Amino acid sequence: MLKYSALRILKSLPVVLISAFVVFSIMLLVPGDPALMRAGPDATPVEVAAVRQEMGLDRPFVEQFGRWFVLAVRGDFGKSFVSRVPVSELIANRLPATLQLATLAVFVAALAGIVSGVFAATRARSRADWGISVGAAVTIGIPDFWLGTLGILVFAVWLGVLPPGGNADLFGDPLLALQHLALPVIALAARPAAVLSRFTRAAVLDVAREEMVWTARAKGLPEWRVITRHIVPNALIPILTVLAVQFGQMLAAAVVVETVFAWPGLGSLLVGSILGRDYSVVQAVMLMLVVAFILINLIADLLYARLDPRIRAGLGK
Amino acid sequence: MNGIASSSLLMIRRIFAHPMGRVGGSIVLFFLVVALFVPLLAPFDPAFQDADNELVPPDLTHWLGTDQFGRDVLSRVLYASQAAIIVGCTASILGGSVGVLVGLLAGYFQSWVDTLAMRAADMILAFPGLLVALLFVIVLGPGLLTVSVALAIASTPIFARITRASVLQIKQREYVLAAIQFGSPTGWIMRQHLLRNCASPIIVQASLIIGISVLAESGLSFLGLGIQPPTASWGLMLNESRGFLYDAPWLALAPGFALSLFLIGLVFLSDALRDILDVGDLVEAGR
Repeated sequence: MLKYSALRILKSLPVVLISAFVVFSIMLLVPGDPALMRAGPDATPVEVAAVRQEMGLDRPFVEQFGRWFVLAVRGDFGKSFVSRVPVSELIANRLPATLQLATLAVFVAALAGIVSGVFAATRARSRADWGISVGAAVTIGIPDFWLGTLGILVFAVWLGVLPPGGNADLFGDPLLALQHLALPVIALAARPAAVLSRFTRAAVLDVAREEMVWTARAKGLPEWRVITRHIVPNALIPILTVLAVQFGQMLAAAVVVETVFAWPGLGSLLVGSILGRDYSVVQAVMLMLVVAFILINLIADLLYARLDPRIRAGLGK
Repeated sequence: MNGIASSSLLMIRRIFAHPMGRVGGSIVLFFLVVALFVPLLAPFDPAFQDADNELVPPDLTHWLGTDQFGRDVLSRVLYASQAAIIVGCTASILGGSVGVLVGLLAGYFQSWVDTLAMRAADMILAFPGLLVALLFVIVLGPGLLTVSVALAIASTPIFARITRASVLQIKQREYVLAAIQFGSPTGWIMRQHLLRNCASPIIVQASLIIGISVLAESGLSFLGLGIQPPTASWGLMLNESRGFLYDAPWLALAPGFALSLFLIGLVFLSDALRDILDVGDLVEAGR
């Protein structure tokens, strides 16, 4: 396990480095001169040159990248072009809201997806199974931002029972915070839950065909025991991988959903910064999202190997 | 050519014989017809601004009402199907062609070609698809063409991986080994044996990519980073409707409903294709 983990972690390091390089290259590729943008429209050429030197833009590109990356690893992303506030401060202000939203959404998606998937599989080819399957297929087709907009329309505009957007302090006023979280979490979790439900159903049916399940039944275990003790734990291993992939997708989807609900998280910070051409913030948020995505996949792989010894053996070859 | 025509016809017949395929196929066909004949179907010019009729609720003249510029919502919803189909097909066909070619070469020759191609694929897949598209839009600027190309690039590694996996399997079969032994030209083996036999997972993946790309396009347009006004796009219409949820809810309902219906049709269609072509686990679950 130790050897596998070390190898797997080593393999993801170059991916982090190259994605950081790609994200950093935005600065070089975007139209316009960052020094000119930072100095403002009224700056004299001398002032622009001074800013360029201060930003290190007169140095070779690889050196610029190296400096940026080393500082980024320490959590220093420089200052925002627009507000002049340190980028790390902007991120620190926005990160908790995104974490709340994403964690709760993953939890809801996992619970709804796995429970409905197992339920459908144990009643395969029944009306309930058919209903869940069609429901999941339809849910996959509904875009999260339209589901969110519909939610606002029904629960905020027409019924007036939930707030249309924004957030509240989870620890100060938990009830109000949950009211603010309800619609964004559902909008974000619906599609992953549907994907997970379909996958869980297939995985459970797959395991149910295995001989050990026959054996369990033959030795007289009650059906619920066969399901909870033998089928579900074995099906959970591949389900975990799909959950991780969906979690990663959710980070990207949060960018859109946060905008729908004016949710003060990293996603809306990213969109605002792109529209405002605040590239130091764009780089930082993009890097954080990609690193989080790589990290989630890494953790999923390690967990997968921990649960299924066959994977570890496979990589050794 | 005749062979392809008759096998496509057989394919369509099998799709419509499948219960989910019938629903999905009909929905997708409906949008294709709308996109092709929209100048005949749309009651108004989608860009025509009628200052006397701003934010009119649905009535007999404007079936789905008008927006804040007095443009007819029904006409814009119908025209937007063109943008969706262009983006979906470009991403699928362009990304598919490049990806399949790369996967074919990587799987057949293996060695450094394979290593290089798969590392590059890993790199692109290290980013969630929407972020790849966002990166391209930041650098190249928004618009129909940029978004289509960006989504094609995001989908290329998926096609490459699937093709490579199929080629690795098929390459071991006796008839391919025999063809290699006979000294058949490499290009002929690739076309005749490998490409034909890995067509099924590629077709299913292509249908999935159309849906994923339409979804991503509408998401980007919703953020204001995709298709730009005055071109009609469902995502863009939803973005513009945000300020009018209280006064003009029809602005959000109509494009969202059309978009969802099209995507649901594509999900049903790709489910049916997966069943019919029996590809199982080869195709990656919804990226």
